[in-house]
Amino acid sequence: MTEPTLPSPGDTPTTEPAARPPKRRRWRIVLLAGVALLASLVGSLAWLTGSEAGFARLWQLAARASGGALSVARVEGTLWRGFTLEDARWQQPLQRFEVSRLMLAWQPRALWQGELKVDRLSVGSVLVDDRTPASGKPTAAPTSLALPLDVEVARLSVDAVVLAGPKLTFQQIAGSYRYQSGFHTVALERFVAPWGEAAGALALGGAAPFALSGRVDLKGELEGHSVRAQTDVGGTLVAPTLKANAVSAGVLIDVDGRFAPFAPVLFRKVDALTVRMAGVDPARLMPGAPAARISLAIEAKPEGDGLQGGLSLINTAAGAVSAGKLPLKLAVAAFRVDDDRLVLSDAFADLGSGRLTFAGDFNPRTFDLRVGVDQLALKGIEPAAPALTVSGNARLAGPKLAPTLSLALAAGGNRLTGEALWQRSGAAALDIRTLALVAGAGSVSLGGRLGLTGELPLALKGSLAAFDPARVSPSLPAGRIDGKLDVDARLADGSAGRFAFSLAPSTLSGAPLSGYACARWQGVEVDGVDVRLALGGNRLSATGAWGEPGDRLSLTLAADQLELLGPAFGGRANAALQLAGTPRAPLFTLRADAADLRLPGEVSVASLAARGELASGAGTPFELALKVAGARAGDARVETLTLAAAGTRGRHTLALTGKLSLAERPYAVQANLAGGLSDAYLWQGTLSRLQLDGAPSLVLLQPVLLTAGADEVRLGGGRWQALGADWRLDNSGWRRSDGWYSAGSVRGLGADAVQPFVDKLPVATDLSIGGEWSLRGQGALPQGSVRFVRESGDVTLPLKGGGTRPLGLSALEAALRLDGGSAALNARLQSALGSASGDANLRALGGAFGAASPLSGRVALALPDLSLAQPWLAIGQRVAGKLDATLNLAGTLGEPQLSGPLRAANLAFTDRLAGVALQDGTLDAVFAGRTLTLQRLSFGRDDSVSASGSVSLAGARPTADIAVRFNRFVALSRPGMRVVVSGQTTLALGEDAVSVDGMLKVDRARLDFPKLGAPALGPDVVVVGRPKREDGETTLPFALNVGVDLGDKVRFSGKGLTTGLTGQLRLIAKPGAPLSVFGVVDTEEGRFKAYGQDLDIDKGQIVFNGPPDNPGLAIRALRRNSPVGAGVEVTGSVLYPKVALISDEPMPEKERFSWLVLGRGTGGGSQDNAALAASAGSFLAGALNDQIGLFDDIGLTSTEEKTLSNGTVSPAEQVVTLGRQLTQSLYLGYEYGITSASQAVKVVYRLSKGWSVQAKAGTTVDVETRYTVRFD
Amino acid sequence: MRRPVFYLLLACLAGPAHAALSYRVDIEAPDALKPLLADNLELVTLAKDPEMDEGTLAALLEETPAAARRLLETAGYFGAEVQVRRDGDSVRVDVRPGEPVRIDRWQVHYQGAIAGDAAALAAVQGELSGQWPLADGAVFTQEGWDDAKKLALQLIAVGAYPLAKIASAEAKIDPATHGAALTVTIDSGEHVDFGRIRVEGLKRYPEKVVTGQADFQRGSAYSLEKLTAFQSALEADPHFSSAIVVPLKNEVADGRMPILVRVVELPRQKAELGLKWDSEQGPGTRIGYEHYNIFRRGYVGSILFDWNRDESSLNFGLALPRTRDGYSHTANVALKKSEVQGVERDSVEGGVWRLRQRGDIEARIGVEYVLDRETVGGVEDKRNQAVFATVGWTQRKLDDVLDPRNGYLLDGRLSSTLGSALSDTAFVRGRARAALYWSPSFFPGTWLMRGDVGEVWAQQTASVPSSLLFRAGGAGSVRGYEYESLGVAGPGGAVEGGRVLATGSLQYMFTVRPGWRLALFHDLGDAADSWDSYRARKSYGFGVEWLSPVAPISFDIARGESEQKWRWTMSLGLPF
Repeated sequence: MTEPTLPSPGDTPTTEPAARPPKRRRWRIVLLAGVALLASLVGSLAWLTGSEAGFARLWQLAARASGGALSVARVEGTLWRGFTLEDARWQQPLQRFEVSRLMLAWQPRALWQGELKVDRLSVGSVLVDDRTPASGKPTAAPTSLALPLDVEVARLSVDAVVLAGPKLTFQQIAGSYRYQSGFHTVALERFVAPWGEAAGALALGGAAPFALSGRVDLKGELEGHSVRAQTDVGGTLVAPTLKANAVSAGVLIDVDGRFAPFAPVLFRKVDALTVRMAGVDPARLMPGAPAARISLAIEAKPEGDGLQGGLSLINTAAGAVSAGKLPLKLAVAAFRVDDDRLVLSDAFADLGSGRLTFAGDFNPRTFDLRVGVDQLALKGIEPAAPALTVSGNARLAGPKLAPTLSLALAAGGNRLTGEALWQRSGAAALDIRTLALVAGAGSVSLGGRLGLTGELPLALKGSLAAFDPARVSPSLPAGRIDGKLDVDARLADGSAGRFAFSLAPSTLSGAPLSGYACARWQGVEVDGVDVRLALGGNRLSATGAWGEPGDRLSLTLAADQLELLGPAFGGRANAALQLAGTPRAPLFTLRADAADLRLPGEVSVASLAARGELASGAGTPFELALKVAGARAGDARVETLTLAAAGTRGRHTLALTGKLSLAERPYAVQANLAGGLSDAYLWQGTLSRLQLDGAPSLVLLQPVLLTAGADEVRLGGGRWQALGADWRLDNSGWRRSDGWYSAGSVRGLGADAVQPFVDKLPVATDLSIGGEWSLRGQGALPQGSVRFVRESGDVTLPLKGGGTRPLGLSALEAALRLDGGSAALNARLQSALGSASGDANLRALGGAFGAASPLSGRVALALPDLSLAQPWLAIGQRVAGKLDATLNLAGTLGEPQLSGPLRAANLAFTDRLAGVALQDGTLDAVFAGRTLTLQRLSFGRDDSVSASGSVSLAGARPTADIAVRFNRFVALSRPGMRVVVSGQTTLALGEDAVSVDGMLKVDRARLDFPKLGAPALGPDVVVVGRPKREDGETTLPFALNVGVDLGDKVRFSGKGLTTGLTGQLRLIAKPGAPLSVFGVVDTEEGRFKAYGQDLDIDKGQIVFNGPPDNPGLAIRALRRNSPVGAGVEVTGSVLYPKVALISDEPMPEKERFSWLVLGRGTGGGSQDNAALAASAGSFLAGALNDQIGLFDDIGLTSTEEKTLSNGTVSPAEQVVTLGRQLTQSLYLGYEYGITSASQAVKVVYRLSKGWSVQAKAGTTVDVETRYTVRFD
Repeated sequence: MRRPVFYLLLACLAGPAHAALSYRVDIEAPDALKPLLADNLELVTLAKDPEMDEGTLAALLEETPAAARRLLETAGYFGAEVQVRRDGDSVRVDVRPGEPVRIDRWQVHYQGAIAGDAAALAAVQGELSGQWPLADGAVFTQEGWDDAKKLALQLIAVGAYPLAKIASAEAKIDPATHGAALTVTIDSGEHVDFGRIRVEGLKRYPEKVVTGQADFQRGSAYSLEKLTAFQSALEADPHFSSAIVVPLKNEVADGRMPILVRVVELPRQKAELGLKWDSEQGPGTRIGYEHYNIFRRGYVGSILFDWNRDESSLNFGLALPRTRDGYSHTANVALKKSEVQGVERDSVEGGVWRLRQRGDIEARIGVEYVLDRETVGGVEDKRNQAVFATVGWTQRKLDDVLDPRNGYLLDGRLSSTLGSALSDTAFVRGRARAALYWSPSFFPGTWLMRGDVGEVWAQQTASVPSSLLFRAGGAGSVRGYEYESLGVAGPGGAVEGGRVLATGSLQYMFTVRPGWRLALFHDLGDAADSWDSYRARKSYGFGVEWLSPVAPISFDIARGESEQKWRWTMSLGLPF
């Protein structure tokens, strides 16, 4: 209360100067009174602005002062400490403003420095509904925009602004405002409009000429592509300039202009303008607009005193109107503006099938627009149009207040000419001087006057002379009609008038046509009716009057030749109607039947018979019978329909039975009513039976009372059966005075209820729901309550491996309370898995719920044991933990704001088969606004995986930025595979896609050779009754760019291969594309066991350049200690490997193989056989050696028979050799002769590649040295 | 040997650090399906893993029924019931496979250029119906289906349609009716002929050395067989260390496919020098020289001189590379001199051969000269000289050279002197060999029948060079007897060649596991001086054959009836 009192705008005026002092005492009294008055004034001012109660009172006073226009629901705070207003409204007949919440925090002290400093101005949803008509006068430029003091609004935010007129909603407006040194500056941080988002800054001078500068960046979406636009504003407020360019895929918009917004004439508001657009589709910009692909250029620049310019438009996707396209191909125009005159010249539009030319001259007093039509084929514009080619011209010219429209068009042999004067001042009227259609020898002409004000009087005279309708459209019958028409009427306020139509002897469809028709009418009353028309054998006659008591109107139709009316007609129709009584109590006798009736619009009736009679007053009996069979209109078909009513007016019964089908769904309907019409014209009675069979079906279980009148419809309480459930409908109906109302309850509403509307539910359920409602409403929003509760049953979800399991639902409840201005929803769900409950309150804005409606509420979610979800997981997967969330709801329905924590503990997820194990997990996250901040998500006792970041739900799509850190994390652990990684990745969810980036290092890994070759059904095996398998590469749904450093502790083993792997890989993927891997993996100390040999991997590179499953191979494994460098080289790719034997020097394949396996060449001798033996022996050695690993060499040779000089014969025999290469140069072998059982030990020492020494000791001893050289 | 025990007793191989989890898996299933499950079920294959733990085992147990059903489907059992039970450390997998799916009908459509070639189409359809692995009524298997598709493709792809590919294939399985309908559509692509041969890597040798090995001409119809033969001929060629023949499928133009040959040449000359000392024969030497581009035409010439105390030889050889028309020519001369106990033996052998290899037939025509001369103390004791012409013809027609099951081998050789001109005696020598492989469809296993008949008709048998006479025994002849031990008994226990020869063999082989066969056989035969003195020796035995990737290797144990002794032999390759 110690705040200084300050004058503020709108406050009461300051105290008047004290009155003059006539006398001393009196002066004292006056002074005292004045001081008291001043004190009380100051005191009450201080109370009003400085205390909560006073401040609230201040608003009440303001509301009272406004005469009920202003209302504020709740006030908190004081003027000085800042305040909050809830639900403030300003309502006038043509204006309405609503503000759901306004919060102001400011620094009053700053006013001493001559500054208005607002820390925060936060506004909830705002509705603006201003229907004040425009004054029509041009807006004048302001003289000054200066403010008396500096202003700073540091933070300004508006949840939503709804413009009720154009139905626009702007959301999430945030920014700041400042007025300093004579300049207004606005910094807009965010502004969400239906077509995009904007951000930028604007500055405006406070004094003339109001220098303007600023820049706004727009971000939006057009045709599914994001658009970015930049707008630069400059110049002054009186002559602003605008430069904008927008770029998107296929669309380019470039605007550069200088404007004069305060010019009096519309076309003078532009000083210079260049607009270039390419690839614009109007259908994307405006719903309902035709589709096209338009390139547009508009150029306007000063030329002399005026402005000269041109327009050209090209549409590359022209098409028919019915196909939703624009038939315009090209439009060109040139215009010139001088003073206040606009001249349009050389303008034409090419419609592909013809051309329109335009020329015009406009000034504030007169205008002249000439349109020429040049060979325009209507079919080219719209295929359904008649095949006519139109030429001619039209002109709208004359004084601005009384222009004349003249028309002269010709198509085929038809000509349409006309002239009309459009009187716009005084008693506005359209004076049709002539309008004539000349079709060949015949013509139709029309003349008259239509008043456009007051009673809208219409006087029209027309004549037909030898007119042939078939000349206008081939779907009309041919004929020759002569006749006259005379209409004199007023159209406003319950039309009245007279018309007379008479035909001279004419023909139609070759049959004679004659007759006349005339009548007078006033509202629904008619008199002087005299109709007598005859077409061939068809007759229509009517005479008499109806409306006043005693009047009688009789009408007879006898039409056995309806086909004479045209190709769309057919069949027979006969009717006789006698009408008497008054409109309130009509009396009639009706007899009508029709057969094989065909009418335009695909309507047909096989047979129809109607009989009705209501002879006279309330007590007399009446009868009504209608039978329809085989009727059809569009996709509605009636098989049979019978309506019968009998009794008196005061007491009668009505029965309806029928079989029909709507949209291919058959229905059978039966209804019985009994009751009567009272003198007050209120029908009261009983609906004793109503049964609708079909899907959905509806059955009335007990008779209900039904009252229906002009001011009230009431259905009594009763029991119904519909959608497989029992419904109890309490009194429901409608009253003109206070709107509609309904109450009732339902029991046992099951899943079948939705069957007529949904083909198949995604889950199986035996859920049964009961509910009750009590609602009433008039105009916009209903009031009352609706409540639904689960009665019994459960939802069954399919299990991953087949089968199903119930969800364990124990409670499900939702209650909605509507009080006209707000809706409160309270819902609760309890299942075996967990529970969720919440309440939400939504307030109406401008009498309706919409995206900008303020929302508040609370949601609590608790999943106490995630392991209960076990049955729905795949085989080998386990999940555990608990999750809780308590969230508060705020903001608007379109942009809800959430706040509150989301916590989970003891989280665990394991997939044994994939080798994934995440344990000891904790999640701590907080919702704030529309952002979920992940404070901590970690797994493992020592936080081996942890994540932090945020997820934002603010934009059209959620975005996220999450960093995941791995610290000696066991990424894979299953038999044969164990991978431990460290590193960091970031997971970003952008507007387009999820992307994962980062770098991981493998700390330790052990990988076994994956088992290959397990048989599996091929993709071309189709098993009947199973879904067809998707064939093709698996794609990732997110973008990936992760580097993997294999480190130095990756071991790979299996299939004889043992190696370390080092290298770096980069995993890259784009959404929807398969994973690509790039990088090179080198083997480290690799060994490969093949053919019984330990091969050292001399060079081992696996080169990934795209497909992860098919890296390129560059592997060379050499036999240890091989003098010729024999080994195996694998090149190609994993899927298409090329395996080649290699050696340091050229030698035949078999020789290489021998060197590889045996460590020696095949040797000389009888070439082929020896080589074959050597290589076969090598294979055998390899095969055995893989098992035994003892010998390098198991071979078979044969020796020749030898006779020695001493005569002894050494017979030919087969010799088995065993041996092992001990070092690179030393071989130790053993030979056994199969026949002679002779044994020998062989030592080979290799001195160089081509030089070896061999010693053999057995029964004999020999030593041999051999040197081989190959040269050119 | 068939895997005798299908339950696996798996002990923990891990060190003491691991909590050992040992379990045993019993698979209760029809024998034919056990290996499929035992080899591929992770429950079984991971049982050895030291890192197996309870959690993983539980997951595996849960997954096994589905995994087993997936495996059984590849064997045609689409309605299998699988139950897995664990009882302590024993896991039992019960499989009731149910009724297998059998082929109801199969269809192979050919489209593309082959559709216009009625004769080729008829031939292909005929072969298809003969070889189709999934005939009507056969049990569907994924392997059979893969083979069937490959067969349908290969039948035309090895011929004139190498660009053929499978346009569409579908095996429609109806588990309810246990029926399968197979449809394969092959798009043959265009008809392709051989195009130009492009050779890369030639620096030293003329291109003819390469192109001459090809059995086809530019413009002749494409055949994969000919291409493969070309490749192996080049690989065996002494001019090159390696050769790769690539059909350039992407460069087919005007229906002709160019062939790219990439060779790595060996140097033009080779020299070899050897020194030797033997406790019985004393010192010796060996000097060899080869040149691979004589007259710059790729002719291969060789000289080999081998000398030791008792024996010396000098060989000259000249080989002309194969020419385009399929002929090749060789000539060789060998001079040999030896001295044994004062008997000096000189021999000269030489010949000129014209060879032709075309398809599986090899034909030879040659003129040979043989001179044997023995001198004792400077006096000529014996001199046999013969000039004779030889015609030889061999055909090897087998379904698979590395694993023969059906087919035959034929070899005939006829030599004759030109009367007595330039020969000491006029003689005619004939020899015919045949081997037949037969795998009856009604009985498992393969039968091999072998026969070898030869005779020398001479005016004076003694004047026929001994290398032209016959001996028998050992591998490829009569097993159970020593190698070439059957013949005419000579002085000092030596066996000399006989004038007549007849051997025969009947062998039954059956596969015990892929690549290994067991054999039972009965051999008989002998070589003798005349049919009168001919007395066939018999033997029985058994053996193991390993179908190595190079050639079949046999290890046989046989018992000769007359010697009552078990002997073992090893042999390699085909009978001849």
